[in-house]
Amino acid sequence: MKTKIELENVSKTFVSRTGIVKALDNVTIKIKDGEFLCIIGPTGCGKSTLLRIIAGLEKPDSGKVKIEKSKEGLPLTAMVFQEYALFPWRNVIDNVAFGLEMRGIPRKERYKIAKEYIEKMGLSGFENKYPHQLSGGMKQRVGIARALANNPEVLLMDEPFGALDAQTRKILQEELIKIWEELKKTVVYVTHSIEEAVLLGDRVVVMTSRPGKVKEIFRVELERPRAFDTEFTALCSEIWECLKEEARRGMYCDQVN
Amino acid sequence: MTKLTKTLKFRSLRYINENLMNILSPAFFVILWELLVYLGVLNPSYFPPPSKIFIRLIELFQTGELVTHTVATVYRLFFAFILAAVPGIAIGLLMGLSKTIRSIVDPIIALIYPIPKVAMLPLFMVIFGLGTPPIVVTAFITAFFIIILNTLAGVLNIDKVLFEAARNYGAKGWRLFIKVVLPGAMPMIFTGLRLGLGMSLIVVVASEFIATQSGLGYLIYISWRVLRVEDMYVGFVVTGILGYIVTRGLEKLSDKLMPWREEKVVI
Repeated sequence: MKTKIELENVSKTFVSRTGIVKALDNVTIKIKDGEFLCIIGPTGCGKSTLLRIIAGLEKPDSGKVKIEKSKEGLPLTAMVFQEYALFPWRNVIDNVAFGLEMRGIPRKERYKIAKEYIEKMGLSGFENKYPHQLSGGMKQRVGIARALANNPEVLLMDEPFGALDAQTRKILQEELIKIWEELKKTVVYVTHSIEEAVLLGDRVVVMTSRPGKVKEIFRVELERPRAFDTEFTALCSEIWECLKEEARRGMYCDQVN
Repeated sequence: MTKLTKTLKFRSLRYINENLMNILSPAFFVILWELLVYLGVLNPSYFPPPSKIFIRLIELFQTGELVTHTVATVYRLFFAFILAAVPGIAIGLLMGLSKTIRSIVDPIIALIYPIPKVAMLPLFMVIFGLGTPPIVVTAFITAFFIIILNTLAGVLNIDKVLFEAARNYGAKGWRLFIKVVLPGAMPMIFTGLRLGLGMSLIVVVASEFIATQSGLGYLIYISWRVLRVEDMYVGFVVTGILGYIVTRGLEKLSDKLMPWREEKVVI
């Protein structure tokens, strides 16, 4: 399968009043078209920074980021945020249609597209609700619908279910996988949960504590839908062995974000 | 009756009670006042009975005096308010968007803001003479800074992650301003407008004491000079009603423009 995202020797250093922090150090990852890639690492390992660099929200100091275009005119990325980042002054349908609106797509057409994804995310009937009227799980459904409605080349997810309760998280994980299998989008998914990474990802990238480097990449060969069986648990503990030391080191670093 | 309908009934009863209280408690207050005057507890030279105030209010209304004064005050208030709101919001937005503009304007505001603006009235009377102009200018300056500062806070308080999302979804330039900055700052802009309007009313009434011979402030002041305490109270009542109407109007407008707001503001 061909490469969709190519990250080559990406480095990033932040300079702030309190000092200089090297967030990313020579990160090289090739992400395949249609792949679900999970990135896992200790707090402050720069995994969010990496995602923001792919999203173009942050420029790397050195290195190369290349996203292969499949079609002209499509946005490169759409991000799903842990904090949902919905616009409180827009109702559900206008939030979902935001990206389309910014691209100048006329109201009728963008509402049609938005409705399609609202339905897909199980939000029918909530079109006119405002974010504050929704639960966390529903908010993130809107966040995902907004990203998908924009039809990006790549879907970026920054701990999207991190703020949700365990049951809601499980339901949304299942829904996400279903939709991903249907749409065949390339997904880069940042998480701090090993179980989540193994449940969702085709591959799991383990990053080191600051400065963030790629420590190891695990391939998840388990059939979907995945169950918490012995193989699953074995892989989780294998990843934990790899991550443990980094997590311990990460605790002693002060937070980046 | 099921438990649910019982609860619902109880709730609606409580709702009615609250509404009833809103009318009953001021009514009770007025009646108590009236009684205390007749019982000789309150001195009517300072606290004339509400009935007398009401009669005087009708009289002043019939002579047309009250209307003239009220119109004068309303005119000054709105003139000053519009004068302050339009550039105030614009400057606040510009300051919020540009660090450079902020660093230029900030020290000027920091210097002028703490001065009670009504203290500048004599200066404006020197410059503009007596009458409406110095009053409007004083009230304008009062509201102007309040509106600038609240608008600025509104822009600066927009959640950073919303800007990230907006950028990631392709919003920039004018669109970013219209679709993100403006609605994001809107609640604070309205807070500024409400505070500015309230302060302007205070300043207009206070300025009318000395700068002019019309307006509700003048009515109150002249009542002191001729010792017509009832007229003074008429001035209080009308000013109070005026303040209530304009702030409620602004509140209604903000509810209409921002149906998405989580909670209603109290003041």
